[in-house]
Amino acid sequence: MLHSTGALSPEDILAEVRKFISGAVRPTHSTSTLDVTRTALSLLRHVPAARDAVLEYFCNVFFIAVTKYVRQLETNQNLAICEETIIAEIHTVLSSFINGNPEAWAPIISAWSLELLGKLSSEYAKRGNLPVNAGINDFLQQWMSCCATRTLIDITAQCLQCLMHSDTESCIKALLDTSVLHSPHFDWVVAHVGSCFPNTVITRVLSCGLKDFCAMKNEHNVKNPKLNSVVGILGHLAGSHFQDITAALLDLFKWSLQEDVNIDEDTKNQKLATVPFLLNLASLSQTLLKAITSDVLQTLKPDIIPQLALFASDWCRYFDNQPEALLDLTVHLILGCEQGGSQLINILLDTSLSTSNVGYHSVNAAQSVKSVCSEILELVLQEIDLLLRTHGPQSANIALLNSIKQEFVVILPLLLSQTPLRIQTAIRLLCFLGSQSPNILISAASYLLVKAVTTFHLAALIRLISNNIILFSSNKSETENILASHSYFTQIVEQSLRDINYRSIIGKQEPEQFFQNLTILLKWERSNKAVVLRSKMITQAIKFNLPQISALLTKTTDFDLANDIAKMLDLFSMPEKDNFIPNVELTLKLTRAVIQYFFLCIEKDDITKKQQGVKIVCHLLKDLTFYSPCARVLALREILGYSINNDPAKYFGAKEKFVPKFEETLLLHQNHKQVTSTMLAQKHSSVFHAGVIGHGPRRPPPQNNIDKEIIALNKILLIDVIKACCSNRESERYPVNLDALTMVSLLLVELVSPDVMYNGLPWPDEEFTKVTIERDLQIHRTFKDVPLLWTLLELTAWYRPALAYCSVLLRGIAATVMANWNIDEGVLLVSVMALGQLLPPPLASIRDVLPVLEPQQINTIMKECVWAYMRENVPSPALFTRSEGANIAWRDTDTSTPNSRFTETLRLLLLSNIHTLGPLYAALFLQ
Amino acid sequence: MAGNDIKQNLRKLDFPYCAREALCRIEILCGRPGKQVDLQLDLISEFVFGEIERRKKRNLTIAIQELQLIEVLSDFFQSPGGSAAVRNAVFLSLFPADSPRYKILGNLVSLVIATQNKAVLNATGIWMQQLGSTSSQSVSLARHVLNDYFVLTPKSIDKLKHLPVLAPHFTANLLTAIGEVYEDKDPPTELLRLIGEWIDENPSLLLTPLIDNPALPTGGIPMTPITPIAGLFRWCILSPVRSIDIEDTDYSEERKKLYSKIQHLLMDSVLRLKNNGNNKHAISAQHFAATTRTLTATLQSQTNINSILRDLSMERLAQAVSAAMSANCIYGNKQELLALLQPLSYLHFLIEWTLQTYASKAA
Repeated sequence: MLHSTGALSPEDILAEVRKFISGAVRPTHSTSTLDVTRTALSLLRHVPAARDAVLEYFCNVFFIAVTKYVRQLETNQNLAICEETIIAEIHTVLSSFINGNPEAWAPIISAWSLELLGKLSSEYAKRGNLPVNAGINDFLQQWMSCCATRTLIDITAQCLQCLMHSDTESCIKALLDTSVLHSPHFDWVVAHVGSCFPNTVITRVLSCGLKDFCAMKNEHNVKNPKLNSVVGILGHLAGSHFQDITAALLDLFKWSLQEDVNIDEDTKNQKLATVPFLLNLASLSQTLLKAITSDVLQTLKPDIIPQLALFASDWCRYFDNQPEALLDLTVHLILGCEQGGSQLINILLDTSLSTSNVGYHSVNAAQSVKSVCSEILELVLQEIDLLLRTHGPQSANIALLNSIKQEFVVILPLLLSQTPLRIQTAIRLLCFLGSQSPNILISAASYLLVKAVTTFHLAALIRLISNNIILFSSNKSETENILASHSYFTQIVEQSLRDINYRSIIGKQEPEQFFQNLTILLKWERSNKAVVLRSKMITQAIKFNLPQISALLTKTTDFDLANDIAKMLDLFSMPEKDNFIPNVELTLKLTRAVIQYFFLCIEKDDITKKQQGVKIVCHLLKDLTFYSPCARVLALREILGYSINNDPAKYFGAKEKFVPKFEETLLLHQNHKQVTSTMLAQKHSSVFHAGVIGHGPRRPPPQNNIDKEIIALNKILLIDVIKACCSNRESERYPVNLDALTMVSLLLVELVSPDVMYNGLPWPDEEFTKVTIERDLQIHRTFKDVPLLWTLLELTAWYRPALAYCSVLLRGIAATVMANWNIDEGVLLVSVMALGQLLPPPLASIRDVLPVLEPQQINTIMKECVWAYMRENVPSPALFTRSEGANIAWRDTDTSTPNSRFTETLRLLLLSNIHTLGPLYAALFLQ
Repeated sequence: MAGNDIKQNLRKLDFPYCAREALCRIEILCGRPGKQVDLQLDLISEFVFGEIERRKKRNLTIAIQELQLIEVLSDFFQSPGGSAAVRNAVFLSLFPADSPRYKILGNLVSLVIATQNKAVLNATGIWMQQLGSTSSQSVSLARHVLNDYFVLTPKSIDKLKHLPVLAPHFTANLLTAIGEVYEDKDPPTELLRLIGEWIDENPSLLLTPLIDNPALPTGGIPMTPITPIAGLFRWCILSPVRSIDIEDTDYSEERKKLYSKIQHLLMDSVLRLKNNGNNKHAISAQHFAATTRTLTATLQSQTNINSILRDLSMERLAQAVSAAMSANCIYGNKQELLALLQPLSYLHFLIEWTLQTYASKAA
């Protein structure tokens, strides 16, 4: 055999040639194929003249191999194909040629392999097991698993790789020319090769397709096979080169918009055809639509749209001169967008609402663009509606809707727009989305509820809700039942509250707005004008969410917010109290919340707001305490506790709470302060009675610098609130419930003197004050610190016999007055007791006498008259009689006239001061 | 035998036998007086090249059949018997000046070079001379051969080595054509090397077209042979000013040497013509004039050429012209040539000298 390299003699060459010819011309003996191929390869190496013949012969070999492969596919056999080894050999030799001298061999071999591939693809396109409508990927798979075609593709790719650097254009041209010749069966080759050289192939395929599209514009009814090829190829490439495709499409689009005067007619037509071409591409493949929308959309700015308007009439020519067809295609493409849906909607809205005519060539053009945009928008919305209704909301798969769903945050601000069209569009879109997933509706509605500033927007909210009420009632599946169970406005409110509670970034404005809106809605509902609201859904919603609302009111320190909440609650609880009795827990929560609000009001400087707020508080508390005794207990305790002991006390004239602060210091530093003398704990060296060493003398608590008038007002308001808590609804005449006031006085005792011992009503022997002196002083100090207590005592004194329960407090103060002859306190004490009818007439006048007395006289009178009388006459509620239906008890003055033992001292003291107290003496003792 | 009978008989035969048979018939026809040229052409078209539509059905494997045909042709011309003149005539009618059969001719020549088929090579040589060895047909044939042997299968260059010995007339014509192939670009080094060897080993090669008389049938008029000398001179003259881009030094060094060698060999050949009476048509003045024009234009357009290289170019031009003038083997418009040299004479003394020496003689 002469297959080895090395020079052949001329005779050998001739012999080889003859052998090859005889083998190639009659390819009957398949056994000799290998032999002939080897001869052919040797000829290829040594006899350039035989090159074409040899390559042609290889064609036969490949054809045979492919035939066998296809037949095996069809018969499901799996035998070895003997040509495969030959093909492998051919591959090796050809590769070596290409690598050895690419410039010379690559064009020849690539032309040959492309042509052969084309022929094979067309020839066997209908064979094999592929379905009739097989796509490019099926072809690719079938042919890549065939040894022969795979080898050819490899060779082609290798050739192109070599040529790419020097001669890109002609390579791609050859590729596409073959593709045109054998389209569509050749597409898989282009696709495969394309993935080796994505940039070039994509751009070229596009421009080729565009040219063809441009030329085909007249016969558009026929499906354009070339367009399908382009789509197939790009679709295949999209898998791995999506970015390149996107960029190429964008470039093409931008190119079509470039204005250039010096272009020939062809280019101009191509530029005009670009947009219809892109639209057609997109309509044929979802992938390409995605590619186009991802980037081209970004460039679709307001300044470009007028430019497009200029071409619109030319585009129609590509749609059989039917603008409707173009519109229809556009609408369907928009529906198919998987991303950028909200952006699309926005573009349409912006354009149709734009008021400027800048950039348009005429006013008419601008007008028609706007009307077309709104038409498209309307068509899109209608189409979605139709699809949802025909397929049912769950099964209808609309890409645009899915895209909007993902970016529905972008749609939300439309709801707050000023233009009705935007709001309407947004609402319609949200309704569509809502039919698929109700959650979206809820968050959208809650968004609107929180953000709406005008009633206009609230009306939009109502519309959004009412649209869906109908939708829900029409088809109740499992998911909607959740909503049906408690009206879904409830969920909206719940969601909004959750947002307010947990989203820390949320502005101060929004919670207030939310409650204001709720109030407005509630008013609307109460007005009974809106049919939609007759179901009382807003009341229901508030009712359901009261726990959250009250928690919010309890938590908040923001007066405005609290005010809005309170107003809302006020309105809520106004008319139909009969229907709604909250459970205990909720009542208590509400009570606590209202009381918090009360103290916020008290803190507020603005008198009008304060009074309004307190009015609301009174109203609310009245309601609450009337129905629930627990609420009353809690309310009173809270109010008294806070206003006496806690921070708010200062607003009622109490001294500021003062906690001396001691900083933690290092032991070392403390030791440095020591001198050499030893220190004993609690000795003079360590503790100085006026203060602490190192910190100077104890500072007195800061003065209460709140305006006296304000304090007075606050006290009045507090009394109002307490009265409201103790309200009595049964009779209009006596608005205050005595039992409740008894509770107040008991509470006062508990708060001021929480002792167990000697806390009863009876006054002991005067000597006994020595035992209780410490407690008495304590009570005295509390009254001094918290002057409000006097006011409260007065309140209880008003509503007899409640004051009787405060006996211990009165006793304590009386004891201290006896000890320190304090006139002011004595007067206060006696007048309170007189008011409460604990001291009957002549004794009641002691308050007028005290200021003029000497200290020892004060002591005497307190001892002899007040204390002694009280010791004899235990201040018990039994002393008072209460007439039927009356609310206040009276002490019978006739039966309770004090014994002269108690009045004699008073008379004598009056006598001794007769120069000033003459008239009083006359009034008391001479009648 | 009438033309139709011949055709009918031939039609009974299959390819490639019909081609072979047709060739024999044509040979017979050619040898006769009253050649029946039309019949010849019909036979060639129908039976040899199968260009008639009726025979197209066999065209499924074109290239293989071409190869078959080439094999038949080479076999036919090599077969014993028959006169060279008649065969040459057949060859000429097979590949007339304006036919589309150059590809087959190219492959035929390429194959016979490999198989050293002297008969076909000679016939091709005559074909080239008759069409003019600088004609486009010849040049494209030369290009085909060069492409096959230098570009596609560089390993087979050896096959060309013995060509001058085997078919000097063909080789000389081929060389003339090759000179035109690289009219405005530098030839590859391998080619330079090969040509250097060729001329070195066969000093008379360059003059072969002048000496050999082609074997033509009676009545055939041989065309004026064109020697490769002028074409090769052009290479040598223009190459220094062209190689501006600095290449690999070893490589360019070798090329410089090769050019010098060829220049030297050319000068030798020209000078050898000096005492030969039959030398008037060795070199065309037009050919030189064209070279001179190109050189002048190049020197004008590219001012940054290394002065050494520029001088080398002009020196070679002066040498070539003066040698040709002294050997008196130049024909055509010598005045024009000298007039073209005039502007260059200021740049190089040798040109000036040449002008001074030969201006009077040319007149």
